[in-house]
Amino acid sequence: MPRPTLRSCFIAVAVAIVGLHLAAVTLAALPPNRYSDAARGQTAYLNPYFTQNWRLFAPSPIAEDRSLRFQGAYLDADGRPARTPWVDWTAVELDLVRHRVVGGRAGYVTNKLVPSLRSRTSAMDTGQQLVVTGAPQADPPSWDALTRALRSAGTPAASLRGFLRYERAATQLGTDVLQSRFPQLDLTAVRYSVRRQGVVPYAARGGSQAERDAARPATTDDVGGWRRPTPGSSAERTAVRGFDRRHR
Amino acid sequence: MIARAMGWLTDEKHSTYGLSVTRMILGFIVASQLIVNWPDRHYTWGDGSRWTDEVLSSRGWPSFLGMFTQLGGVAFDLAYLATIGFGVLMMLGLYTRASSFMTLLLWVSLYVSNPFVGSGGDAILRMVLLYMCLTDSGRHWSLDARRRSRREQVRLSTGSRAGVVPAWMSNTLHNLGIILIVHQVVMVYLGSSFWKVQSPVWKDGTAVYYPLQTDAYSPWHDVLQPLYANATLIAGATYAAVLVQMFFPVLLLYRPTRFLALIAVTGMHLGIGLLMGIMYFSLVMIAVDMILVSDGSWERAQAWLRARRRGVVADPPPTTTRDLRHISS
Repeated sequence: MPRPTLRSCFIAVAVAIVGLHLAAVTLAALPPNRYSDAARGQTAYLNPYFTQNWRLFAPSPIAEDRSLRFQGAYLDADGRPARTPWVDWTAVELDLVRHRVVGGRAGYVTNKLVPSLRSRTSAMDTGQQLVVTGAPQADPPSWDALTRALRSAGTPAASLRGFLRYERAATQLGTDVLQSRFPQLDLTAVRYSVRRQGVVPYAARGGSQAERDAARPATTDDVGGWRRPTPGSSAERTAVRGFDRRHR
Repeated sequence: MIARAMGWLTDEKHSTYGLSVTRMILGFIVASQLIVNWPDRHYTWGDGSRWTDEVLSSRGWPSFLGMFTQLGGVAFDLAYLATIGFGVLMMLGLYTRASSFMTLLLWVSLYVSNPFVGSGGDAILRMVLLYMCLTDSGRHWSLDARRRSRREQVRLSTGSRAGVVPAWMSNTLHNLGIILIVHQVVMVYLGSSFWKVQSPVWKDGTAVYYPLQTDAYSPWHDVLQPLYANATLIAGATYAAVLVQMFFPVLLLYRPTRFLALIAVTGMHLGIGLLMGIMYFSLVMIAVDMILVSDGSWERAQAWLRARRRGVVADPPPTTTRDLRHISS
């Protein structure tokens, strides 16, 4: 048996490490199956740097327009509660995409935020969802109060953490956006709505514009509860305001 | 068999031309992308994206990649410009390995700063940039190569340079890097095709229609609607996407089918990039696919171009031509 040399040892170790990594990537890249599931512990190191998610419009390609809209509440000159018009922030972002060969990277921000927001709310039961959507305009809860209410409604700790993370993010963006649009208003509450509408059904694709519009499924709005305004830093608000001015 | 494999791994570096093309395109992608997004940089990755911080903290990225989340205003702009600068250096191939590493570090830090901006193209880009650190991607069409030849620091026979790692070690790391990159590309296509064949809309030839009707993934749908209403075109694109992705690894095994696969997959990516508004993802995939073009093909193409430029018809060099300028950098 020949003695192992530095060269053969180096090559053996390098090939072994690469071989194991290739196996892990292969298992993680395939759709869920018994072998990938069994090796999940061994392939966990791939996240987040080597995350394997190559669905690319599969299994079900996106088939709806979705947008994130914000609305603010304030007291008018007479001290009566009033509301701002809805601001469609996704429409503002899509200015970076529409009729552009090379779209801007910020064109899809809320498009990617919306599914995460929806999945965290839809994972809750009816009682928990009532807590989420039922917060009143006149007296929106603090984040601590909302957390306590959801905990009382039996929301599991992990779900609660995930929900609050995205809820705070959406509320902060909404506050920045509304302060950019309505700088003269002293906002007392903000909320967001996820609007969705399915595309023209395949069977109706050949009609006129009016026929195709009529064939589209109805728009649905999932309106969230009122939250206390949660503004970002001054620099954050300035950046959002600049983006709004360029693309609204 | 083992001896042959060892020889392939250690004797010489493979796919050096293709990798150089990949390096140039990826450097261009990083730099041009940041230039194009300059007006909206603060909302996309900077101060204006800090509302995402709580989501970001749950993603598990190491803290040393949080540089862009800590910088604001002018400091952010300087780091942003540095990323563009290193991307250009990588594209030009100046201090290739160092500039590739810095591009990787800065680009991933920027990517991490907003969890709602990344795409599949960014994921591929960061993995390939990391694997490229193992390779000699500045071997051709780079300022490093020009500098080396000018200084005559090339040892024509051994492919090694005194004072650096031995050639067999450099070759091994380079070729393993190539394997990692090619395998990742194959898994993108294979994984995606396996997801697709599970779905009725991909099986009935209509899947491509749906995203082409949305505002987000169809920048031209108001103009190109008649095209998107054509059932033959939609079915052709849908089935072509599934077939090309599923059989891509098999098609790579033989030269004629490999050429066919690269033409088909490049066409597919250009179609996706132009019609669906995700050009950077498409460019990244096209760039990485260039590694699959053999050195012999690049050499013949180079010789043909030179001959055209001189106005004479030159015989193409044999496919076994070996680039003797082996440099372990």
